[in-house]
Parts: sequence; structure tokens; C-alpha cells
Amino acid sequence: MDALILQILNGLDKGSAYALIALGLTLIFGTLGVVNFAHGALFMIGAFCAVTLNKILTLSHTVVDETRKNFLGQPMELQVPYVYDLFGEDMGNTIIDWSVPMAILFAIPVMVLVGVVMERGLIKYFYKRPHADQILVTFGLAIVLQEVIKYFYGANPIPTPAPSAFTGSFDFGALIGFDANTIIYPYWRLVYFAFAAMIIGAVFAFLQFTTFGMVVRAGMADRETVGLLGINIDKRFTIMFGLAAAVAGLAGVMYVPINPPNYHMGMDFLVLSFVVVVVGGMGSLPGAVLAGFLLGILESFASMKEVIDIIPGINQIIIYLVAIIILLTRPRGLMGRKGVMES
Amino acid sequence: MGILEVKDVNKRFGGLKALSEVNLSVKENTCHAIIGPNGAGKSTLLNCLVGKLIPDTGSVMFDGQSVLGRTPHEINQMGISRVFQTPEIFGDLTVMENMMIPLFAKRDGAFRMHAYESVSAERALIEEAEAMLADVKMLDKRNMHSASMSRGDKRRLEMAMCLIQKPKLLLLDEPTAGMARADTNNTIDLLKEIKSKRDITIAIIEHDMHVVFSLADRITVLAQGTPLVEDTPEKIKGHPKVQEAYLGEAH
Amino acid sequence: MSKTNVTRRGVLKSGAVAGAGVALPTIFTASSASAYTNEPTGDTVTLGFNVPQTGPYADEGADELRAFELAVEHLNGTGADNGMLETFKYADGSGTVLKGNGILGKKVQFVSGDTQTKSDAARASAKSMIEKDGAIMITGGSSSGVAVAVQALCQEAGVIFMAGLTHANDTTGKDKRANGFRHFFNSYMSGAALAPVLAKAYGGDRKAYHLTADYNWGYTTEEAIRASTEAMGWETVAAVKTPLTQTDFSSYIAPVLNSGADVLVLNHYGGNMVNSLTNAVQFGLRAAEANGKKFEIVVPLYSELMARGAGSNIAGILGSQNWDWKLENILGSRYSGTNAFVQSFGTKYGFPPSQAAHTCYVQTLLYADAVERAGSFEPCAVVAALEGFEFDGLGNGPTLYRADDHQCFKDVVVVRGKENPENEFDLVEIVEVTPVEQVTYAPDHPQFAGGALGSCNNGA
Repeated sequence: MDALILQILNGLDKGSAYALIALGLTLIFGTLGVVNFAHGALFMIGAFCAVTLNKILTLSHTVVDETRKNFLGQPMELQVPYVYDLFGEDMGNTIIDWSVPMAILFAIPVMVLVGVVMERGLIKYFYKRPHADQILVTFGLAIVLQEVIKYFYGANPIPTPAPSAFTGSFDFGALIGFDANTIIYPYWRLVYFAFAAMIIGAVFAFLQFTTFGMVVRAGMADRETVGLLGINIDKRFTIMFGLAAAVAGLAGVMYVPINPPNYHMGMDFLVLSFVVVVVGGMGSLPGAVLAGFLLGILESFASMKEVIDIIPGINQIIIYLVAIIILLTRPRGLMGRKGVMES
Repeated sequence: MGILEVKDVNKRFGGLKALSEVNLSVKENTCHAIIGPNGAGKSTLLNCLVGKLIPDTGSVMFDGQSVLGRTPHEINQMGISRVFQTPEIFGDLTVMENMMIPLFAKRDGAFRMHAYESVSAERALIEEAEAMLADVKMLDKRNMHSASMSRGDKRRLEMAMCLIQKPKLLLLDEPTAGMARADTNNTIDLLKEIKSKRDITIAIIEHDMHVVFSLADRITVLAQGTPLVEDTPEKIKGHPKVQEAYLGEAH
Repeated sequence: MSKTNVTRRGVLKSGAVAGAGVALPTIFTASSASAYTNEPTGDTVTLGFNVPQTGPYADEGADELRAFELAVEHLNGTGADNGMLETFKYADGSGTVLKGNGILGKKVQFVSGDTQTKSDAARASAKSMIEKDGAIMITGGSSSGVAVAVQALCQEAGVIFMAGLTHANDTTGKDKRANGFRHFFNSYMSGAALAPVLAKAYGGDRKAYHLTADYNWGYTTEEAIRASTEAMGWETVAAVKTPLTQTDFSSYIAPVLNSGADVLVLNHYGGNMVNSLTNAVQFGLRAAEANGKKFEIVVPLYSELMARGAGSNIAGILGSQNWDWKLENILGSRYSGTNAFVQSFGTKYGFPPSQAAHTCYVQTLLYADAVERAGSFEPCAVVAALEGFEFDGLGNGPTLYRADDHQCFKDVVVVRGKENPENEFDLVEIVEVTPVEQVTYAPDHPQFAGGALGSCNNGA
């Protein structure tokens, strides 16, 4: 039982990343009708916003320490971060410690800017083009973005830890009545899940309760009619792209303590996120979120040793298997509107 | 000088002359119907009127401004509202939400980057929407998911959405196509009400003669891409050329 | 380690052509009337450095390339110093015949290619360097899959292959070739070196849970560690294969704590190791207790780059390396050559070399020296010169290039992640060095069975 709960927790928190990325993908597809293969790259850029902020905060100047020697036998050069000079060592360490959550504030404007630039600079020329063209150009963009990041940051993963208050794990099992030490789960992963839930909630609230959100929902339902009623929907969609980019970016920012970010993490998540969108139903926001969590949980269960013993290799193919089954039996996805992608 | 002036419009598609020397003048606050057999060019003409097609020659002026080549939202902001055969509403939204969208459009214009404001704070607009819904007798359905309504209800909602923007010209493209008798009569009543209560010009393309003769002040008959006759309904009824055009087409 | 990215090809550098040599037996255009492939006729000789320049190991490939360039400088005598040429000795104590005037008087030039850490791209790149650039020796690489593929290609082409970083048994086991030589240690040696240290540190009564990368290097490493740890009393509770493309290992880590095991062995390299170790520490395995003992994690193969990527998570984790830049400082003059190389590399590039850099530099010197001793570039002559060759002063202590399998036998370094590293180059500390006798195996050992060296191929 505890093993099951562990894997459900795993699935929820893995699914959080999938759901957030799929949410952005669906927003873009539903409003602009664009299949955005660069969305994984946006997730990666968000993660590197956190890396960048960390690097900025740890910008140091060199101080030569005559009492110690470096590997060549010369006086050791120490790197002293500027924040130490500005705030003192303790405060400086605290600031650096909390760089990941602080990166949220840093990332939002950056991601919105990136999204708007992407949309105005490239994507808007592809609204009327066939989906295949859109896929090619956005995929190409994804590779370019990935190589740009690799140029500046190298190919190696860059460890960016969570605040020390949240590193480590705690006894989740004790919380829900199990024996001690049966269900241990890392703090930060639970924080990530809560954060993702908040963002998803915020997006839905925005769409449901604000005037802008209502226009966007109308546009997702019938773009042509919105234009007929006098609203230039394209302009608003630029903002939507920025918003979707911000959602993906935030998913990336908070993800960095879970696995050290590297330049190809976008690609790692991209294919899976598209499977999520297809399974959930292209154009359905609740479907995307639901499918994200569902597939995360499924993936977790499929990696259980007991399951692999019965069906070897299931862990590698489960997601794709589900996608194939859905495409064959119910092409519009779990919650997709009738007619979308069914032609 | 009519509010809608179509002058010398010609349109050719390859070898086919779809519109030939079309001249049309729709007077303000009247209902002008355009009829004709299939293939007469009614749809082509309509598409020219709403910016979807650009005629080879000629001009289309609405209230002194050219309509040609404009985007749909620009046409709407000029004061022209269109109603199609299939009701164009937002199926995923509730009836009330459907009503709010045209109100936003009217208030904010096409380009104003507006409003992260809460919808529920828009008291004035909500009241206006409720008033209109009451007018078309749909207030009790305000929270209904619009996709699940009957076709007739959808039509009424669509009409309400157009009217709430207080357009100067209402363009209707075969609004009763595929409707049962009862629904058709309801639509006629609705349009009669609109005519009488508001300052609005109506241009309607129709096949159903009952609808045309109930509503129109003037009728233009199109045949083979060119206007055959334009006159009052009484004069059109017995017109030999009109009968010939229709009879000829029917066989 | 090959990654299966959908339809993606990275950007290649310097003359490597992708896709040409996929899976088909490579056919080499015979050069006219030379005794062996790419016989150098002028006053230069070209070496081919085939390293990952794109893909996840690009940083390691860059370090290998730095070492190669340094070696070429030293061979040509154009470097700021002579590096290991000063310390390189033969078994009889005499110094190397390399004089810093090239190889057999010919100036050393090089071309570089991009393996992309994919076997087909690596083969195509090597083929291009051999056919278009006249490379007479191919070296470099960061993956066993790539090494095995390129080694086979060099055998067909009739050039020498001096392997770079490759750790799987198979490279000098079932996939060994007469034209190929490996200096870097292998999975068996890691297992044999680690087992006694693990027993001493953690006791002989341990239950191990293995997470293994699902490809040949993972399998051989798991096999080696299991064989050696089970021989000293450990029990293997479970061995689970993880997909190579896995990024988040949480679902594999989560069941470990309640599995009855008290040691987690991560048979992972590169990105896999960075992520699995990060996840393992996240889940509190380092701080946990099982079976009344402190829970431990073991990473059989360390690399400096991975250690950097895993950050503070490597603290206290035991593993093995082929060499470490601190070897001579800590353990003395047996490992002479280490400091000479570190000084030389460090002065030129500003930071100490990785074990990948070290093995590449050493392989280049060993090749050049073998050619000098043989008096010819002919592959079969070089093979004869290297087989059974004993040397010292290249940083690992006395080393033998065994004739039966073209594998170097030397001491193995057991390391542990530092609790409080001072900087990013000081992440591991040396625990001890396992002497070569304890990591040597018979040529027909089961973990290496199934292949045959064959005979050397001069090509042409």
C-alpha cells in the first residue's frame, strides 16, 4: 500500500510538470491554432532563468589568499560573492540560498518577453499555414534555442539547489497514519506539486473570471465569430502566447532542484507533453491538465519492479502505448471537443 | 443616397462571370431583400459586402466609407453586423457569457488591450446584457451552456448578440434556411419587432418568399450575376421577368 | 551513450559527414600502392581525434581535445614544457625515446571529428578522417558504445584505434580487436577495486539494490560489482534496469528504502548519474537507516564532470576512477607523471585535467612511443610494439599493456565525494588505491569471453 502511495505521489509531481507544459501547449493550440514544438524549449529557458539568477547572485570577485595554495602550488584565489560585500556573509548566503524561489519573479517578465518576441517575430507568420509547417519551424526554433543555451552554459547539468529549508525529505507516511519511515517523500517535490496546482488554478481563474479571459475562451470556442463581433483577436493572442510561455517557464524555474537543468531538458519533456495534449484532447484545457497527471501516475506505476516483472520493458513504452490506444479508439482525446483532429 | 451603396461591381472567377454590373442602393432604416435563383450570385455579392471578396471593379460604400478589403473586425466596428445560416455563437460559453463578448467589443473597440478586470465587476454591461436577454425572452436561460440549446434558441441568441452592439446595418444570409415553419415564423416576428423598435437598416438574402414578402420594403432580384429588377414587393410579385427567371431555373 | 532524439542531428564540425556509414559494412577505397593505410609520405603525420563535440558529453569531449592538443605540442616540442615526456619510463628504467621532434621525425598534425556520442555519427566521422584527412590513428571518445563501433571500423580500415574514455568490459572483452588498445580501466576492475574498500567501510553483511542503465556498459558494470560484492558476502536484493533516456528517477528511487536493502548501487554514467544521484539524495537515502545500519550509496564509475553536475549530492559517495589529479600529491612518487601533466595542463588551461583528458593524453604518447620503438607507422608493427609493453611514469604507476587483450593493467583509484569541497575541481578525495594485482583477471575470464582479438590489419 505504501509503495502505491509513493508512486501516486511521484506521479502527481511528475505529472505537475507535464500538466503545466501541456496547459501552455493547449492554450496556444486552442487560441492561435498553432502546434508549438518550441514549448519544451520555453520550459528549459525558464529553468535557465533560475540558473542565471543564481549565477548573478553568486557573481564574485577574486581575492588572493596567500595562506593557501591552489593545485599548481600558487597562492589560492578565492571567489567572494558580491552579495557578501553588500549584505554580509550570512545574509548573502541566505539570498543565494533562496535564489530558486526568487527566480520566479525574475522569470515572469523574461518569459513573457520571450513569448511575445517569439510570437511577433516568427509564429504569427504561420497561423494560416498547415500544421506540418508549424511543427517544422517551431521544432527548428527549439533546436536553435537549445544550442544558444548550450553555447552560454555548456553541455553539463548545472546543479541549482532548493532553499535549504526545503531540501531533504520528510515522513509523509506519518502524516497519514502509516508507520514511521514507510513513506518518505522529498519536501521540494511536494512544494512543486503545490506550486503547479496554484498556477493551474490561477490560469483557470483568469480565464473564468476576467474579461480578457472570457474573450480568450470565446476565441478558443470560435475564433472567427470573435472577429465578426468586432474584436481583433490576433493582438490578444500575442499576450496569450506570452502567458503560455510564462506558465511553461515557471514550471521550469521550480523544477531545477529536482533534476539539475541542462540544455536538452526541453526536448526530454516535449514529446511527452504532446502525448499528454493528444490524450487529454487538443483544445481542452481541463483535458490537458487531467491527462498530465494521469500519465505521470501511469508512468510511475509502470516503473514499479512488480510491474516490470510481469511486462518487461513496460516502463519505456507505457506512455506511447496509451497514446496509440487513445488515437485508435477515441481520437479527440479524453476531453477534446468533437471534431478536433478527427478529420 | 443609401447607407449602403454598391456601384458597378463586377467579379469574374476564371471563365465564369459571377457578378456583372451590379448596382444596389439600400436606404437607411429600410429592409432590402436580395433574391434570385441558385447561382444568381447572391453569395458572391454578400462576400463582397463583408470584405471577404474584392470585386474586380466597382465600389461598395457603407455610410460614406469603403468596405472593400477590410478585416472582419473592422467591418464590425463600422457598424455592420452579419448573421449566417448556421448560428455562430460560442458553444463552450454560457448564454450570459455569449452576450458579454459583443458588449466588450463595442465598448473597447478592436484594439484596446483591455481588461484584466473581473467580469462580475462590469455591472453596467451585465445589466445591458440582461435587458437584451429579457427582450428576446431568454433571460431564464442565462446560465445555460449555449451549445446545448435548440437551433431556434441559438438563432435568437445570435441575433441578440448582434443587436446588442446597436449596428447600423444588419446583414442576414438566408437566416431561415433549413428551419421548420414554426421557427421561421418566430424569426419573422423577431425581425419585424427589430424593424419597428429600432433605427436599423436590414439587408437580407433569402429563398423563402414568405419571409421576403413579410419583411422587405424593397426587393432586388439577381439572375445570372446581374440585377434583373428592383422594386417594391407588390410590383415584384407579379413581375413576368421574375417568374421567368425562377421558372426557367426550376426546370 | 546514444540518445534517441527524434529526427535530430546536431551540428558537425571539421569534415565529418553524418549518416553515410549507417549500419552497413564500411567499404574503404584502397589507397594506391602503399604498404598500409595512410602511410605518411611527406614530413607530417596526421592523427584523428574523434570526440563528442555536441551532445551531452560535449564538455568532456572538450577536455579530451585539450589534452590531445597538449600531447601534440609535447610531441612536436612546441609546448611551454614537455609534460609527461620527462617522466615516461620503460620497465628497465630508461626514459622514452620520444625526443619532442615529432614521430619518426615527422611533424604531428591532427584533425578532430564529432562523435555526437552516437555510434553511427562516430563511425562516419572516423571514416571521414581516415579517408579524407589521411589520419593514421584514431583516438578519443566518451562512450563504450561509440568506442566499440569505432574500434571495429578502424580494424576494417587498417588503422590503429587508441580508445578514449570507455569503461565497459566489452571493449577489450567480447568486442576486442587487434588494432584497438584501451588504457582506461573497465567495469571488472572497478568491481574488484571497490569490493574490498566497500567491505572495509560498510561491512560484509550488506544488501544491495542495483539501478542499472539499460545498455551494455550498465550490464557489465552491474555484473562486475555484483560478482565482486557477492563474493565478499553481500546480497543483491534487486537489480532494476532504467531506460537510458530517463531523466527523473524518482519512481525507481522511491521503492528502494522499503525494499530491505541498505546499499544503493547506481550503475549510471553521465546525465543518468547526475539525475539518479540527485533524486536518491532528495529522497533522503543518504540520511536514512535500514536494517539497523546507515544507508549508503555507491557510484561505481566517477567522472569529474558528473561530480560537478551532481553538486553537493556526491558527498560521502564511494566510487572509482582511472586516475585523479591529486594522485601524486597524496600518494607519492609511485604515480609520477601526474604532477608533470597537471602542471602542464593547468598552466596552459587554468584548471586541472579530468581523467578523460589524462587517458587521451597518455594514449597519444603511448602510440607515438610505440611507433618510434617499432621504427614504423605500420599498424602491425605498432601492435607488436604495444603488446606486452610495460611502462611507468604516466601517472598510474607501473602499467602493462597486456598482449592477450590490449588492455592496460594498473592500480585503480577509489574515491569518495568530499563533504566540503573548496571549489569545483576539488570535489572528490582519494580514499585509497587498489593495487594492480587485485584487479587483474585471466584473459579467459567469463566477463570478457565471447570475442577474439583476431590479427592486426594493415589495410591498403
